[in-house]
Amino acid sequence: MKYSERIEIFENVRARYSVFLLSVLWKLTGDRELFTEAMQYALLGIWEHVEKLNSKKAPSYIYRIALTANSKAWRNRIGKNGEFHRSQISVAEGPGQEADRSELVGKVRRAIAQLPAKQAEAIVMRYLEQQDYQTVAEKLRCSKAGARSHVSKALAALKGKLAALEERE
Amino acid sequence: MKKENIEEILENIGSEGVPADVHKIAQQAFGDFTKTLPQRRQHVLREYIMNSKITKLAAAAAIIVAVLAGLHFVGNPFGATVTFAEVIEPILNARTVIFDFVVGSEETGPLMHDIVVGPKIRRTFSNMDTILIIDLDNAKMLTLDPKSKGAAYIDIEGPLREGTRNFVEFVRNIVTKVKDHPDDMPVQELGQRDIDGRKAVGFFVRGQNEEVTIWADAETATPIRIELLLGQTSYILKNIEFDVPVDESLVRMDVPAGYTLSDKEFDMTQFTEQDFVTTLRFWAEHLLNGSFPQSLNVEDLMKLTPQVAEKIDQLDISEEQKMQLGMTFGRGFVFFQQLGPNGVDWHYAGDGVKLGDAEKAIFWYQPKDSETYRVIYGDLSAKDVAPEDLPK
Repeated sequence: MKYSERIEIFENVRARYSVFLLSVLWKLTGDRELFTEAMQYALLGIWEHVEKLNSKKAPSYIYRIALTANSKAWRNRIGKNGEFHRSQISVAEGPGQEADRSELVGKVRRAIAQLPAKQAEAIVMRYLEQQDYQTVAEKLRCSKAGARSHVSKALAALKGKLAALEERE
Repeated sequence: MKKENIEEILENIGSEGVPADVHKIAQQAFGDFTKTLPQRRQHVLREYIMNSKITKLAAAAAIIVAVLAGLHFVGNPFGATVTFAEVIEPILNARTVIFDFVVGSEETGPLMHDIVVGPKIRRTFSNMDTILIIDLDNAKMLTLDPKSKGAAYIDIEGPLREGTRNFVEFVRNIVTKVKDHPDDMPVQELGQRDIDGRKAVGFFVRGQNEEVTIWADAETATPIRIELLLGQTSYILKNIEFDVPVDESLVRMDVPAGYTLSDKEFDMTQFTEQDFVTTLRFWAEHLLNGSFPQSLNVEDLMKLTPQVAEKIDQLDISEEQKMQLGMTFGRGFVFFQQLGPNGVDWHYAGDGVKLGDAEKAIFWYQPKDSETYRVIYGDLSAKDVAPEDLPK
């Protein structure tokens, strides 16, 4: 593919999905530094896979790119030992309960970043984009029951990861 | 932690809005990344972060400007009679012309009011506040929004400039060709009828992709109504006045006092199938709950303009993204509008089709000099298809 064509596709993809990326990456990170990093990874991912994004499967690829970008940003934040320190996420200042809640939300976000791709997609579509199961099923190219199953498994996996985090702390 | 608690947290995250400063961070990231790629002129403009009123104006103007493109003339010359020559004389020689201009049905179609002074046009709309001042010689357009007092220049070099011919210029071109080739296609006389209480005589000419009907005052031979059919779109010029005194400040390209001019110039120089796909997507997603429109025509798109501008303005996206979306919607509109007048065969079949349906073709057209058609499906993917394989 010619370089100029790659640029053309990149610009079109960016224009089409910038709203999606902005919204989803913000919801997944909830932190400005993380968001910036994730967005940079996402743009890089679009550029690297630009040929694939010129097909009708582009929406699926965009989800993968966004989630991979999010995971990379979180991995960088967490560090080599996999530990996750309270100071490394945005925690609301103020009354203890609010701070705890904010920390918990940060942990949920981090846990999403560690989910398998399909489960992460299901969580993003169902909760972050607030789509119904029919739409989730269409996007995941599975049945409605299959979509419910992906979401349910993802929730269970999140629960497990959060429990593990709490134990470690 | 309970599963229900996780769901609650996820739902709360899902309903979070994106803070304004995060929009700016995203814009910065887009800009920084794009700077690492070779710049192309039409994309440079997309990188600017505009203030709200200018962006809103740009979005509206980008859509409005699209209607100008349908006037591209690619017709055949036709014949003339002595009477017809009298009728066309003011068309050929008038320096100023004022008229109303309807796209589609005279009863329901959007109406524009044009003041033409030489190569400049001042255009206002019945369904929008925006004012356009077009300088055809310099391929520039000044857009003004009286409400927000925003102003911006748009570069219309290229196809839009070619297409942006006022109707008088368009008819002038036809008339000139009639003079040069009087035997190629004779004018058909339509006899007399009453128009707004005046007796009028009519003339009809059919070209390759257009039909032109001119009604002129039976006593003065001055044209009072012109009807055009270009491709599948009809246009009516009425309440025409030639050589009336016009305050030339109305078509001045300077920004009026009290308006804030964007320091960036918008770009409407190229129009692609991808732009058109964005137009269809936006239409289905934001205005029709995920369905494609029943029909596709210029009149409906024009009527849609205020809603589109409003919807764009309501979106929880950055000002730059609003501007991009408006521009892309406008370019998609222009892409579609150019098809008919350029003799491109196209067909729309999106009625009843849901966005995302990859099996159903919603639109197909045969690009110039192509043996195959481009077919766009309900999921807005597109591919080349041989004529014999087109949807039945």
